[in-house]
Amino acid sequence: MSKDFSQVLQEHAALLGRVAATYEANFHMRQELLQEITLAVWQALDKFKGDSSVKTYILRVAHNKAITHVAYHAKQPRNDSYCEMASPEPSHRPSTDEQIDQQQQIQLMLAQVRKMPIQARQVVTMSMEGLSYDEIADACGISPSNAGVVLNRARKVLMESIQHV
Amino acid sequence: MYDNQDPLSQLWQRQEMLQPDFTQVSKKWRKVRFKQRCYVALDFFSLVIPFAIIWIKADQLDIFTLTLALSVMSLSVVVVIYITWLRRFSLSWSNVPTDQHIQRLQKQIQNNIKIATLSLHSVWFVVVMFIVFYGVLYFFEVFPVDKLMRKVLVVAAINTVAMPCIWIWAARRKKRFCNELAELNQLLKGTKN
Repeated sequence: MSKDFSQVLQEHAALLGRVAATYEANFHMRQELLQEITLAVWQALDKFKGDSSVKTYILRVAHNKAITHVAYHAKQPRNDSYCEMASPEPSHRPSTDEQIDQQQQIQLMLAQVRKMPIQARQVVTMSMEGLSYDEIADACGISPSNAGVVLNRARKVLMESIQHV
Repeated sequence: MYDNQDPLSQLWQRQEMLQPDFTQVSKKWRKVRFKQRCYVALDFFSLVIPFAIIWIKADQLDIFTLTLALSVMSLSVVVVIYITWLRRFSLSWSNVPTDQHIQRLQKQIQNNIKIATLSLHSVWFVVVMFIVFYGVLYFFEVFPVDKLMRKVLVVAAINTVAMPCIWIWAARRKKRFCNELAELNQLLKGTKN
């Protein structure tokens, strides 16, 4: 693996993990998807021309790969039901009530994101990664105004879901 | 766009994340590249070898058999080119905007359904070709009847085993691709999971 690409991938590893979590609930499938996304991004970095930020480019490639993965694994369940490992071991277990509430909010938010249509899913998660309307619109292939409308609707749904905790 | 103070963004960034295994990614890349080269070699040899056999055996074949074999092989070349063309969007990654990627993906899966349908119908086509072929050999008395019957029995036995297998394989592939297309369309609408 090229040293420069390796460094870029290391810097964006958490970002790639969050994209995988956006599409796969099952732990093992998420691991597999993360590896596929990483490979796709690594290959795609060679063609990066600098006409957007590296982060936007990586997110675009990662979402495209994730969509392909989910469509090609149509027979696989999209939940944790068949997973032998009950859940991934967190590096630190939540100890306080506040941390437990936060974990629940994150799980609810993720579940809600995974129920959204692809476009809304992509728009809202890219926004939470700090991309601008223009960057989101460019990555999704929609107009900035459309991105704004989709984002506002999606955020409303997410806010309602986490307020139930 | 929402700033770093946005509660949703803050919550999103606090997820416990898996880390990619870069060693495994490198290994997988080598494996993928090897497989791609194997597929190219397989496509090449699957066309070249039958033509070479026909060329070598040309003296021993009657004009009808030679014409039929060359016709079938020429048709195979067209089919292989068509299948390769259908697979042109089968990229391992894509950096186009997602709406374009989805359109390509839908087109790719529809093409896969077409390829599977083509494989499915090739089964009865091959059977018809054999019937026509041996019918013509019988009609023009190219072989003595007992020799022709032995050939027909051998080919019929091979077809009886191979053709249902190919039919089942192609039907399963077609069903799988139809499921993939349905899953993708469902994802576009949302509410599944």
